[in-house]
Amino acid sequence: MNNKEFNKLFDFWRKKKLRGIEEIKPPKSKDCLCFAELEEHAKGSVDKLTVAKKQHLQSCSYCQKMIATFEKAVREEERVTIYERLIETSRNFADTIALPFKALPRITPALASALAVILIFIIFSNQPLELKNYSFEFAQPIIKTRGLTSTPAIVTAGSKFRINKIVTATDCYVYLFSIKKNKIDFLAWEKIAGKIENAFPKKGWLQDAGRLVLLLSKNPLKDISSAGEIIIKNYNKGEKPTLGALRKELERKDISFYSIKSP
Amino acid sequence: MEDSPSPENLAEKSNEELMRLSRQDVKGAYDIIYARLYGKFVNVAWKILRNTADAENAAQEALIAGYIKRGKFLFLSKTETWLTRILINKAKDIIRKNGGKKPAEEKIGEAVDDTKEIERGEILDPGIDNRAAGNDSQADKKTRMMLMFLEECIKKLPEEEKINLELRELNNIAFKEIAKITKEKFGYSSLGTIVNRIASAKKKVKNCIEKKLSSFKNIFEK
Repeated sequence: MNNKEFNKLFDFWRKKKLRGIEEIKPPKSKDCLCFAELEEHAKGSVDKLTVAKKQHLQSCSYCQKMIATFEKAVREEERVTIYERLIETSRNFADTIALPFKALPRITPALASALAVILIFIIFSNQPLELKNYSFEFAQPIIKTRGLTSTPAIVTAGSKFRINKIVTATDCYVYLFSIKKNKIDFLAWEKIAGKIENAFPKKGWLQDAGRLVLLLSKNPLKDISSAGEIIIKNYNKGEKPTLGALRKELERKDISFYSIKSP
Repeated sequence: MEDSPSPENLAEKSNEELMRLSRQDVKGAYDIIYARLYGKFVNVAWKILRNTADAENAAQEALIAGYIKRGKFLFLSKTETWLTRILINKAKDIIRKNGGKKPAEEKIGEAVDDTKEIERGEILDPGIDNRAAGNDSQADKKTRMMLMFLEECIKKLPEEEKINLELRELNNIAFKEIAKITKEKFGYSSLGTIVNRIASAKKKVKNCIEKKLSSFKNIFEK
């Protein structure tokens, strides 16, 4: 059997089958209510029906079913209409609110890229402290000018912690601060009569410290919290030029500082 | 309520004209559409629901909803297409009410006499062997036999393919509407899948007929 024959047979089958389907008729008699009468009935005007129709209604299950279905459909339609009206009202309300914004230019690729550039600039201008670490590379020369040497060294505090590139300082007061999420905390101070490696040997000081800041001062600090405030203020500005301001401010108090990121 | 034109005139009009008249509240106009489409709708609904009572309810509800909503009909499609869309949505609701993807007959723990349902369904989905085909002078013995084979082969198809094939090829339902049903019953609504299922069903039917024909070859040759 080729495709042509099959399609022909299929068409023939379709025609015959549809002819059979058309023979199916609703179980409706002549006395049954027509749609117009069903509508009248659903509206509640039963009086318009003739006596014969009313009598027929009581005995005809088809009509009773039609009436029930019709009433159900009317109720459903009423619900849908209310819902549609509600949607239309809220849409009108939204349109009214959006009216002032319609004057704004439509988003074009050029506008979108400009907006993206602005967005990137905003994000990076509010960068977290971790992104600003480079600015503290400038701390080392400050220490040198104070007559202290800066050499790469490893200090082991307890067994867990390791600090790279720490300063070697002698005969000064060392103050340890931690900076985490824009907040500065004073951790400890120590007077060093030798090398800095001997300072802060206690285990656990550097744990979860975030970025550590060491202040090295020839004299003991009178006000530790104000020194901390100076650091955090300049840390938050974070840019290269502000280091000069930091240095000046700390020099006035005879302080050097150095920062290390804890491992 | 307008009383003209006469019922005889109405019967000659197309569904679209009758719909227009019905929108003008012409008495009896929609009743003719109802009588014309009832059989088709019950047949379509039965194919989807495989339950006589549900099929009759769906057809009735769809046609009544069509009458109530007739003011919203914009004549952008044929009246029958628009009403079929309502029917499909009704059938979909019934499937959902009956518990989703499983057809009513397959419900676990519910004793349903399948053979009885199929017998009842035969009224809504009439066969062709003992109807017009038998009296048709054009249909010779071989054609009638092949038509019977075709019927049998379609009946043997898996439920999924049978529904897709019959709704599209016999009832001419749009793919988009078939997708609504397949989504409810079988969990897919891709038009590509539906097209594939129909093609596969046709191929199966063709192979099945060929197999039957080869076994009856000797009879035809005699």
